[in-house]
Amino acid sequence: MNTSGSNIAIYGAIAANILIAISKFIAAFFTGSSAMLAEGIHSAVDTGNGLLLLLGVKRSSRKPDAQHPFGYGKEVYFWSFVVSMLVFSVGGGFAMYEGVHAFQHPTPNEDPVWSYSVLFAALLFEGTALYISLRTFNKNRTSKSLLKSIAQSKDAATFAVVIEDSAAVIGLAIAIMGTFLSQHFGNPYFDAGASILIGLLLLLVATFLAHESKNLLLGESADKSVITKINSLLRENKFVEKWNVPLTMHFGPDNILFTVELDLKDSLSLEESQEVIAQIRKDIKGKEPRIGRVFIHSKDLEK
Amino acid sequence: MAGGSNLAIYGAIGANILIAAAKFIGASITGSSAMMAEGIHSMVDTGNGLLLLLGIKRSKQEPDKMHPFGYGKEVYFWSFVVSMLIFAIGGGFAIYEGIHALQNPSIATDATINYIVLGAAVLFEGTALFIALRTFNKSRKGSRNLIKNIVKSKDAATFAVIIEDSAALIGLLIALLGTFLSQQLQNPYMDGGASILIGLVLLTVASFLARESKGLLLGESAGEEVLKEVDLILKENEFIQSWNLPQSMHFGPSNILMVLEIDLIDGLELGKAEQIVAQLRENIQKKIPVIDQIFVHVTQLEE
Repeated sequence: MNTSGSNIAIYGAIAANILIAISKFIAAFFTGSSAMLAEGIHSAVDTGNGLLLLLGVKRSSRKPDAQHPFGYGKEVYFWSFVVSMLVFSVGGGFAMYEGVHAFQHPTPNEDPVWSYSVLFAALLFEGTALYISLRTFNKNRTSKSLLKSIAQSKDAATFAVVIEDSAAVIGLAIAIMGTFLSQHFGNPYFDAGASILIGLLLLLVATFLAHESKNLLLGESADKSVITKINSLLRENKFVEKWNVPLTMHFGPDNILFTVELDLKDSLSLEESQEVIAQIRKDIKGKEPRIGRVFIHSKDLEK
Repeated sequence: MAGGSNLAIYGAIGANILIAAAKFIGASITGSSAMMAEGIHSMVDTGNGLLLLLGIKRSKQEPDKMHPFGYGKEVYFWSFVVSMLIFAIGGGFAIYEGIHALQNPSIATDATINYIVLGAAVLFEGTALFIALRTFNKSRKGSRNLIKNIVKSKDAATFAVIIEDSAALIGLLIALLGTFLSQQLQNPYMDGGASILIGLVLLTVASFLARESKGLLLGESAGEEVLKEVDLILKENEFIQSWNLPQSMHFGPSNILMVLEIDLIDGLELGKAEQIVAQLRENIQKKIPVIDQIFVHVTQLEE
């Protein structure tokens, strides 16, 4: 269910980056600017990041096997982490390098028409991609704060795209400002400063994305809302006397492992208890279809 | 087990500090910038050892609400990060050095310092590899093939050190050969060729390490021996009629999560059944202490 959603967000990001790369290559061809050429290569790498996320989504749907009995759901989290490393090194490192280089060899920008055209075209494309990815993300949003929602989200492919697109839009706004200021004051250092600022921004968001994907890779629990739902389900069941806090882990946005230790009424026979447990398993999966595996350990919880 | 991998890591850190010192001394005597760069490279290798130690330390954090199954996979995460660093900084750097040397070919007039530094490095790395292999062989069962054992191993920190030490040693031998041949044949391209070859070795081993840590991060099953032992315990239990293949996942070298679905013989009281399950759990954990979390789901299994 979420998977097709995150796919749309990823396709949006890929399309935007391809169009931006083409605009930059065209501008580089007509101006002969090597910085613009390098920028085009940068957008091509961003396109690659989208492809890696798609790869992760695709590989995550592989069936479990003997070596990976819980399946490959975490492929999505793994590739989001790889993308965060690439945004850090290729995105952030590259922008910083460009900025430092521009400080050392300041060249006054003669005709900014090409720069403005490319930057505004890129802003249009990235803005559209961000709009698409946010619309996807908002469907399952848990909090008013975007950062909090991302921290709570288990859909790494989608929030990776949201983070990447937002950073790109902010970066473009900084670049436009830098171009404008260096034109206005005839001071090429504004341009260089903008590059370094963009680099810092990319390092920052890459770190945030790395942190979030790492947590999911290590094994994050289901949301409180999921646990609350199941708790009320268990409370309503007259055969269940008490239970320990369920242990859960996300293997993907729509793939939760659920384990709980519970104590059933002593008056039940073994056969009846098995029926009760089978029914609870069914109810849990019905209430929260994202829970793919349920293991109920029946136990005497009287101290 | 964790104590063992710590020893291997300390060995690697010690070796890399000594090698970095040797290279810096060599650089200060010869004024060679390549030797200086090599020293920085060894300092990064030292950092890799520290990252593995960090992983082991963080893996021992207690489980919390967000990570109810604990932080065991920190070790696998940091092994993956180390593999990326070996790939980019180790492999990338050596290939860059090689290409640079091929573009500006030169033969050292006196290779004595080179031989001394390389010889000292072989001694240090060799000792570190010996320590790491001795640690690894303790837990090595069955197969004599080292690569097969690494593929099967769940102790990512230890096998990361072995892979890194072996690659370093092979690299040093290639460097010695390159220096010798460029002196003997008075061919300035031998040295650059050796650097590129070392780079290719590092890219290969880094990819191998990345693949192995990735598999563990996604969630690898317990080894065959563990599964066989569990099977034996289940078979010996007279109350257990049938069971599904246990699903298990390593969170660290000595932390396994296991979920079992079993069918008990008919006609038992629920209280008795709970007792049997509790005993089974205790029995498995006593005989196979690496299984530290176990859930037994009693159900009706169709024959």
